[in-house]
Amino acid sequence: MMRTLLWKDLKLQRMVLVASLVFYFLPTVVVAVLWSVGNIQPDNLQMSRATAIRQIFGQSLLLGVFMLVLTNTAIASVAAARERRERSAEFLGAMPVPRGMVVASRFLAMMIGVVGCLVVGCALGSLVSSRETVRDASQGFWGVAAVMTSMVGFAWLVGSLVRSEVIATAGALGITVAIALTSESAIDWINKQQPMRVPTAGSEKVTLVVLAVGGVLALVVGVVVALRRKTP
Amino acid sequence: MPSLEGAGAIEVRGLSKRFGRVEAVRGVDLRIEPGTTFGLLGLNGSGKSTMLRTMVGLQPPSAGECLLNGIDVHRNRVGALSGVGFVPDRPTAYAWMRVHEVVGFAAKLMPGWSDERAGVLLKQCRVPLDARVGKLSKGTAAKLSLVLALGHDPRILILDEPTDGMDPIARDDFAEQIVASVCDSPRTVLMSTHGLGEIERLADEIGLMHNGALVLRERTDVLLATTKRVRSVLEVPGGKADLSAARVPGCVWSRVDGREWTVTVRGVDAGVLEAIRAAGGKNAQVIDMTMDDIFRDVVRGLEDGAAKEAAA
Repeated sequence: MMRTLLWKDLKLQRMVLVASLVFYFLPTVVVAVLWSVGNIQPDNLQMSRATAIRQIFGQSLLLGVFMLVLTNTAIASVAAARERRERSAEFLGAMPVPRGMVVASRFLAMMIGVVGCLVVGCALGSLVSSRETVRDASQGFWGVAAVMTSMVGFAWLVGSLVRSEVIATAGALGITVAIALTSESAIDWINKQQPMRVPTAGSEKVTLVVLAVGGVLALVVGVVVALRRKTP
Repeated sequence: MPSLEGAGAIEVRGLSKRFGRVEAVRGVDLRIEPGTTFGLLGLNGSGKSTMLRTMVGLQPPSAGECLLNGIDVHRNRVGALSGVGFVPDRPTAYAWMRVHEVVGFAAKLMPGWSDERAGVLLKQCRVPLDARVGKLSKGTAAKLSLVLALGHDPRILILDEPTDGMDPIARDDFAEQIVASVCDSPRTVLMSTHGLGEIERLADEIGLMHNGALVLRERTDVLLATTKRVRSVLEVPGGKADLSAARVPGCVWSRVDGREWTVTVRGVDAGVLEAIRAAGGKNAQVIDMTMDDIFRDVVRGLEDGAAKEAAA
């Protein structure tokens, strides 16, 4: 039963997964076009053509991982809200299928989509890129991961409450921005009360941790909401 | 499997459903015996769909309980729905799937599903297997819903206005399939519809819902045999007819049009004719009614009664 539900939930994601592919390769395509017309040069003009291509396209593929924040949010929104918007959730709701299994399948399909895109994106970027490019990019990776966790978590939560993927995605974006701004303001306020309580360099990390924790909590609350829902 | 001894196939006890301040279903009690085809009638917004959706667990009741094959659907949804097929008012199967995919999907989720049976039904209903569900016409999509509801040979089939918006040919085809499904194996059918001809043809019993309450329940043949229109001529236009209508036993609805007085009555006998004569109606003529006529007059009677109550 679980495999059947998972097949359905993954198939439901196929258009978003195609969009993920497009978004992931978008920076690379743009770079390729600019490269072909000579608008982009490697950092070091002495490097070989092969190394230069590796550097430029490796960076653009890693930039593609940043783009996945948006599509992964859409994956979570679709997983949580689409079936209810289309009323196909009622088709399942009138079948002798445990609600827990329906929610578990949706959640699993979402995680496969989100983590799968992230892993494939990072792996492909790392394969093409030089070690230095990967090292530089990895500094920003945790920031992206934290923002992505927040966006995905709140998209799942909002999607569990409303019947619209658009509202879920917009809601996730709004909540993530609000959390980030609130966290920054709170740190500023704390520092004004007790100077250097949170070092300036650490304030960004605190915000990212807040976003990541908020995202994980939103995922958990979203699951609870979906399980306790009285209507499919 | 719980014992069904003494239990109806479908039992609804004190069912109420509220949406905020609106009470869509008001304390409905309904018991349908196994093997019965029950037609549920009512105007739009009378609470039929809400009741059926609550009965199959698509929404929780505000009060009361619904037992399907003796199992409370809101306590043991999976157990209760194992023996139930549901055809909704609008097809809800995945629009992006192809017909063969959605049938395969249902086959893996419904206990007791028979591919052979589903195959025969699909052939009878002429549903194209490779078409996308979302591209099917309304009639074909409704037939697909019926196939999906019958594929596991349920003991109870619940249909919520499945033929709404269909052309007459598609309606007939659909009704044929329901007849075939009932003949096929012992099944209890609960069907809400606006198609009064269908109900007259299919239903053993009918129920009428009005303003969320089940206001009438009767065997179809009994209802048709006992509900008549009595048309008479008044000596004086208007006369005492309006006031006296309440005194005509079994009066469902009464209308005075110039000197013509028409009374719809359940259970016409000598007493009824005498009451009409006493109220000034001469040359009383008893006229047979179709289900359509009965439905209209009962509803008009209920609405007139409600209007008079409101005025009082």
